[in-house]
Amino acid sequence: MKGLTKQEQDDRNELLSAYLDHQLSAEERARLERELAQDSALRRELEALRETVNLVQDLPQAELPRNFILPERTPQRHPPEPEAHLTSDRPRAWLAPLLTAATTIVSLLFVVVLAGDLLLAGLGQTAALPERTEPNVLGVEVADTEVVEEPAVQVATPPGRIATPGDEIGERGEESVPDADEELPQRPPRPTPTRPVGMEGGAEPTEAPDDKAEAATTAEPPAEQESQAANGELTMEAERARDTGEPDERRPTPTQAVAIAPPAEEGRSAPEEEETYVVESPRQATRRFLLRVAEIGLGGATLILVFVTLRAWRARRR
Amino acid sequence: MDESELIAAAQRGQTDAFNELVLHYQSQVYNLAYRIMGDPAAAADATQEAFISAYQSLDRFRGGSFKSYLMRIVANQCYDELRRYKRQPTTSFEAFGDVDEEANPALINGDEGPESHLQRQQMSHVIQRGINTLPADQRITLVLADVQGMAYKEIADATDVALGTVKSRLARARAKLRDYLRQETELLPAKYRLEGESTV
Repeated sequence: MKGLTKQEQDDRNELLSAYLDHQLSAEERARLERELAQDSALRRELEALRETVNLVQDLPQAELPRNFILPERTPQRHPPEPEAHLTSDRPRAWLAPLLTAATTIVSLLFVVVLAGDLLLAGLGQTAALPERTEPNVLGVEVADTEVVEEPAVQVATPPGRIATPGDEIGERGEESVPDADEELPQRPPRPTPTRPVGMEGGAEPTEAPDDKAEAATTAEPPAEQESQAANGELTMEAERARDTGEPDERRPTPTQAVAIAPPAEEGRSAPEEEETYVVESPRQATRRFLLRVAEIGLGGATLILVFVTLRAWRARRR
Repeated sequence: MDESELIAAAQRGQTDAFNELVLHYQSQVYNLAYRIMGDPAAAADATQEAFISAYQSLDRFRGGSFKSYLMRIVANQCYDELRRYKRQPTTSFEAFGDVDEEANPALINGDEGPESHLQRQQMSHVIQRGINTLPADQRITLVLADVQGMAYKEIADATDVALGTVKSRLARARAKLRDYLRQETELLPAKYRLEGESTV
């Protein structure tokens, strides 16, 4: 075996050992047997290895010093093994700071999403409040709907004051909810008007005097401005559609919840003509649904992360 | 009850059923521990610990060979013991190589003559000392393969290593033991010397 490197010697020993255990493939076996036929040193190595294995196999069986039966009250279960900590608790302990950061981020996201949702819902409720207290004020759910106002309304609104549904209802008096079907032929295609949202079973808004509507208008929160600004795109499209006589695809369909102010009376000036659409478009419904899903998901993730993080810190203290 | 019924009963907490299994396998388990540890007392401790461990973790046994399950546990137990002795050599680990016939009378075969018995004892002594010189992983692999007669695959499962690792560990262990015996058996009768010429 002289002249072989240690690696070559190891390879040869492995080959001989596997040969004794019949673990070589037919090809390896045939090749080794050809070498054995030509190499007497290799044959001696193989025989010495074979004798070694035989000697070990012939070692006498050790006699039992005693029985190893278990006492009756041997507990069935293991206490936690140290190895288990290496595979479970230790990585959690190591991850504790990372988990803490992740928990913080997810919690903040949850709070932001929740606050945003509550804020929008609050705006809607604020806008709808007068509807319950003041019969002649249209309820407009800002969070869930789009408010479309004709540009003429904006022009008619005095400076420093924002036009609201209450304005036109108050000014229109008893004609605030006319049969809109009569209006359809005279106007560009627009949604079939229905009773305003929130007024289905309540008092008729047309009975409210104008001064109450004015009060409701001035009491409108600034958030209403934001909602109107946010809906500016739709307002512009509505205006464009009316000017060109083309139907506005974004206008509500008859199946959508629509709150529409009545058209202006004949003889009234143009600035007094106000129309308000309260529309919940599919896009907004989808957005609201996604918002809810995000809240639920983030809330659940926050709870899980808090639980895992607490366990990690407990493991880290151990 | 057959073995599977005994195992099922033991898994339900019946110690008597498990003790039936202990009585059936204790000889093989102890022999394995003895050849790995090289010391009767250490082997007895490892065997007892292995049976307790096997009973307490019996709910993890999902069928298959119960013997392999036991051998795996005792091999791991011995491996842990060897590492502990290596770290804390206050106990004379060197003494593990000195097979004491008086302490282990089972090594005496009553059918052979005094001289033959003495030579066989010497040879066993030398072989065990040779085994004790091997690293723990190679030692366990050698004992599982050549003392217990386990297949490569069983050894791989028992020791949680790849099949190739078993092959290389076994080859190295055998080669080292062969070299050791070559040196140590020069004074023994010819039939115990490793001088084989090829007869392939």
